[in-house]
Amino acid sequence: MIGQAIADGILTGAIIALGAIGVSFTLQIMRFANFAHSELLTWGAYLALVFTAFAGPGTPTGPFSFGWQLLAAAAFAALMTGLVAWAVDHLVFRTLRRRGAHPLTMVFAAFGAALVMRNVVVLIWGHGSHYYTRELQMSVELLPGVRMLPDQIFILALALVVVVCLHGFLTYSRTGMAMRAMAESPPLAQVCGVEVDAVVRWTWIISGALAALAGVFAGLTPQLHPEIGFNLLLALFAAAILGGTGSLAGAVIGGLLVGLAENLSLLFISAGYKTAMPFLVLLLVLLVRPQGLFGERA
Amino acid sequence: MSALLLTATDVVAGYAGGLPVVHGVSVDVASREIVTLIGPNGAGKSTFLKTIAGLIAPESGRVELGGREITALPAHRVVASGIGYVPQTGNVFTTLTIHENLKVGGHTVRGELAARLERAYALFPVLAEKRRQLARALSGGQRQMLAIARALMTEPQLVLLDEPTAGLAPQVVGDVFRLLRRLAESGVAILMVEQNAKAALHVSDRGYVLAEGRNRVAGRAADLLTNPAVAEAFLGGKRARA
Repeated sequence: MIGQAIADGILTGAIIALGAIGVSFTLQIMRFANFAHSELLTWGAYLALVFTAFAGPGTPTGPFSFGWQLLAAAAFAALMTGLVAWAVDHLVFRTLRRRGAHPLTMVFAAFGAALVMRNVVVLIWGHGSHYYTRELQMSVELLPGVRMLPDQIFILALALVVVVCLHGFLTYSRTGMAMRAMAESPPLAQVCGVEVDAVVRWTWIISGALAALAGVFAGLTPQLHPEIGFNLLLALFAAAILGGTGSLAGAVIGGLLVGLAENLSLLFISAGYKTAMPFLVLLLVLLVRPQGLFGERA
Repeated sequence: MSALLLTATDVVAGYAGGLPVVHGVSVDVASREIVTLIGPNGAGKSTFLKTIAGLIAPESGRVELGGREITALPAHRVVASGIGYVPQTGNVFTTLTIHENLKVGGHTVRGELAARLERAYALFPVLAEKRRQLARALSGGQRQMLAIARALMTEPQLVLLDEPTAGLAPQVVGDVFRLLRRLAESGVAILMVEQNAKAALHVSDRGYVLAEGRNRVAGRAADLLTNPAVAEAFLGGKRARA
């Protein structure tokens, strides 16, 4: 029982983590709470659906329910969602930023952008559920009493690869270093010659791409619906704030902890209350350790 | 006096949405010169430096570096034009290592970054020993050294320093001023704001006294130190710190 809850929690947590990284970056680098971030997950999931609608999900390869086409679809969705995120910034947030808008204005603008983005998805694909693939697959017993679908194991492995690559990018690349510099102090980064607009562009593209992967993974286990991102919104913010904003490790560990909290709570409370867990985590963090696990005390 | 490097004329500037803090300040710096701005709190000295560095867009006035106009360029382009800036607080990235701080400092340097890093470590051996540590682990004096080393990564013609000795232990203050003297001799001009006015003027070639956002007195540093009006109004209260 508890082993299975931990396995499920890690899977949910990995998906939350990929979304939370973007929330954390926007909070730290653009200094506002982007409540439209969850819609990037939804857009990513549906953009991958567009790709599979043309290419098909592929013939199941090995134990998985999909073929290489779904991987290509995920890569396509990541790229396109990165561009969508950047476009939304150009249309909405950048204009407000340049006017020196109040952070609260940005939050309301983000809510507005989220509504529009979500309803565009409803308009095109309707309220119903969609599937990348309807192939059945057999779960694998990893440990006694702990079973996972091969697709889920694949998601975990790919999420790990993505996080390791991102860590490498942030640690060693010129742009990654500029992003970390900007996250700590925009004026100091600027006087080092870092161009704010370039860092902002990269931040949106990376955040959007990660959100798209989270959306595709959520859609793969097992279906897509227009609220797929919105339902994770609170979890994304809980994870980003729990981890302490601006730190990659923080967002990843925050995501895993929120995922674990959701799934472990099922052992004690009914499933109907599961979605309240991120909210509870968020409240606890804000009361006990508002700077997050890895954040600096202000 | 050698050729003028920086000429700032009638600069008016302030923070967004507020009234101007700097009401028409003019300052010149020649190459290899150390120039200090002194004056009471709120005189607009730091705001003036931030305006030159491109962090604040001036409302009017003109800034030239080596004959090229740089007025109102954004900060990242001011850096590229040859000016380094060391703010008073938050002047190093505490979440980055010393090595990373220097690399970000050389963000605009393509190709010869490795050579610049070696030069920085040669100039500041204490940083070389700690290159893998986070900058937050450094002492106040070491942070100031890192901040200056970081600003030098682009090989600027002029370095702006906002209160480089604020909060430092007295023996370290001497180290910082000696370092600035050495830099000027190596060909880098320096424009600094200092509360530690007497000590700063001792290492400076010239000085400007600002008050209420305007030029008050200007002259050779040695003359300002002996000017009774300046001494009484702006140097007297600082005796304990100098």
